[in-house]
Amino acid sequence: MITIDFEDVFEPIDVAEDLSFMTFNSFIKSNGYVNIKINITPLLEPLLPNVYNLSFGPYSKNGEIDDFAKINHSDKNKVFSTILLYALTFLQANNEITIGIDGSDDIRAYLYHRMFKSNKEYLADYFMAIGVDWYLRLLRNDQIELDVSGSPFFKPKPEPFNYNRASIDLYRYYMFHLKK
Amino acid sequence: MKEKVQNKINHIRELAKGSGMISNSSDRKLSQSNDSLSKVIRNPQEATLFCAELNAVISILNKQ
Repeated sequence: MITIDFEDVFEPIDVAEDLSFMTFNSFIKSNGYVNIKINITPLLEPLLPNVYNLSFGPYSKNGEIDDFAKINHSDKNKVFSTILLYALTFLQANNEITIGIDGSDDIRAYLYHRMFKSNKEYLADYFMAIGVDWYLRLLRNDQIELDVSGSPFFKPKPEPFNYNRASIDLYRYYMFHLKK
Repeated sequence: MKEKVQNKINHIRELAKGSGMISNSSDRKLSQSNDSLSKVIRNPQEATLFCAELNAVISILNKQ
């Protein structure tokens, strides 16, 4: 379980002037540390002007963030507290924005889901949490709606995060907005 | 908000001021290519509908 505490975070190293990224060092279990970069960037310009994506991870060999990397952090609580404090910093400066995080795999999505649930009271002082499910339309002929390529025609639908959902009943996408 | 938390936020913002750093375009592209929401919103109409639903959810949460 991850416990968020905004008073126990890693010291920033680099911070972008427009708050689009920040880096910090996280200690790892096998000694040493890894440099982690947090990115907050527009998701679908200009279609979703007020939705930004949060991603994080170490640098890959080509200098980009590897958000699929599996790292044995010594202090996961501090890592995620640092990431969410940075998101809070960004949202205070851009309070019309909603930040989205996409579990790059089920393990990460499960982690986010548990993090929202287990820190409900603490995070409620700062954020409003939103879950997004994908829905399919059932046609009158009992077939599901398909797109032109023959793939299911998914429609994303946001809702207030349902804390009563089981931890294994993951959302497809997680979002949070600054608490007014 | 706790003063200690706000002080940490202010510290980050101070570091950002005048740092002269901006994100690079490859990071932006990577965020979008890995993001599932951007893959299921295919056109402006779907984006408008999603934004309206998102704003409605935010409005509900603001009233709670």
